[in-house]
Amino acid sequence: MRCRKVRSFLSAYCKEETSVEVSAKIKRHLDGCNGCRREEQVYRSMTQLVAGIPALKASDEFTSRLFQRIGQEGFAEKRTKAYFPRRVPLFGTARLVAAASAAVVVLALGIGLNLGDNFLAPGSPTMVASAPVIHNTDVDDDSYLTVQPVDNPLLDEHKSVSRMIAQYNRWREYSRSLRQNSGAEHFLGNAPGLTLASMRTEATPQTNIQVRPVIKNYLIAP
Amino acid sequence: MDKETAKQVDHDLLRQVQHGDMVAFSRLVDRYRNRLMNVIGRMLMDAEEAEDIVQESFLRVYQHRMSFDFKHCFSTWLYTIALNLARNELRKKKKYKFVDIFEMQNKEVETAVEPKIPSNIGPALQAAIAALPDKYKTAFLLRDIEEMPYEEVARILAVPLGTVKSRVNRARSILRDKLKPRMEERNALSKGALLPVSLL
Repeated sequence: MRCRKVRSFLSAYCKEETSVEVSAKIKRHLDGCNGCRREEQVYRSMTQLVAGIPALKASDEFTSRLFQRIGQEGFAEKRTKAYFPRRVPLFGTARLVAAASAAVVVLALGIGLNLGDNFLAPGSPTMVASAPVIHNTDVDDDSYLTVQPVDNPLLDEHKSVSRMIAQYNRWREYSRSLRQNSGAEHFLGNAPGLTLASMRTEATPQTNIQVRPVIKNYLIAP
Repeated sequence: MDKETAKQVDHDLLRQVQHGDMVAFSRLVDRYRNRLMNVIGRMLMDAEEAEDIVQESFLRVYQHRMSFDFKHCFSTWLYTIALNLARNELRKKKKYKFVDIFEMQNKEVETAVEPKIPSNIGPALQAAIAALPDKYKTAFLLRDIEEMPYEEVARILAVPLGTVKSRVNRARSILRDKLKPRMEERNALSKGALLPVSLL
């Protein structure tokens, strides 16, 4: 072991904090090195001095004053500033950057959705049904089932979309006839092109069926 | 009393405190007040302030007695609270440093007449400890003055074990650098060597 290495271990060696192996190596080195031995003496003296520093003590009235304070403060649990989380600056750089990027993402999504409405792929048209909630079916109003295609000439021209609208209208007629005598679940179960999962309804087994569409946007599979 | 027994005693006392036993709390205070005072006093270098901080620490312990997690050591919890309060106090002191101009002048005079090698090395050592950077000083005080195991110091300071070891080592070597001339004189004196001219 070289002097530099030995000296880095000397303070720990004097406090007997080094391992047996390291201590043996240091001891061997110290036997043959006067400079390091002097360093060791300095550390040993310092260790002795530190151990001999008189301890500071609390005053005799410490406990009585403490109990007096406890009496004054009350025994209730109290949260202190030290236990609160760190305050985040209101207009920190990170926050501003995050807000700006969120705004950009929202803007981009908005533009993307608008473009998406105008240029829908022919294979996946979206039908939007505006559906007011109906509480009483005495009035034969099935306007909530009215399906209007998105106002897009490209879609109207497409045959598959027209076919789907026709199919949907047929289903609407069929469902209207069923609603006279049976529950909504029945006709929904038989409805072509729609599954129960895609149109959730609340139906009661009464004569006057109350149908309340929950999902307003239907995606009709071709 | 070994560490495990001490830990168990602390936990028993704290359980009694949780049930409203003030005698147990008083015993807990007696067990730790001087030890805390020894560390905090050396950190702040002001006995009155240190006592206030130690008192505040016990007050916090009492206020938050129900939230103590018995998985941990009570002493670690107490020292962490006290050291955090002491650090806050030091920060405040640094922020608002009031210096009395007359006191400053007196200090200058004292420095001017101070002998190069004082006969009493104790105050020099204490001054050297006080002048250590805070992070080294805290680690040094807990390890070398309080003689806590490195692991507990690491838990109190919430730093890795290796960091504690390196801080303690660094603190010792800073002290050694500052005190080396005085130590060598002292060693020479104790061996009956010739006195240096400055000491005659």
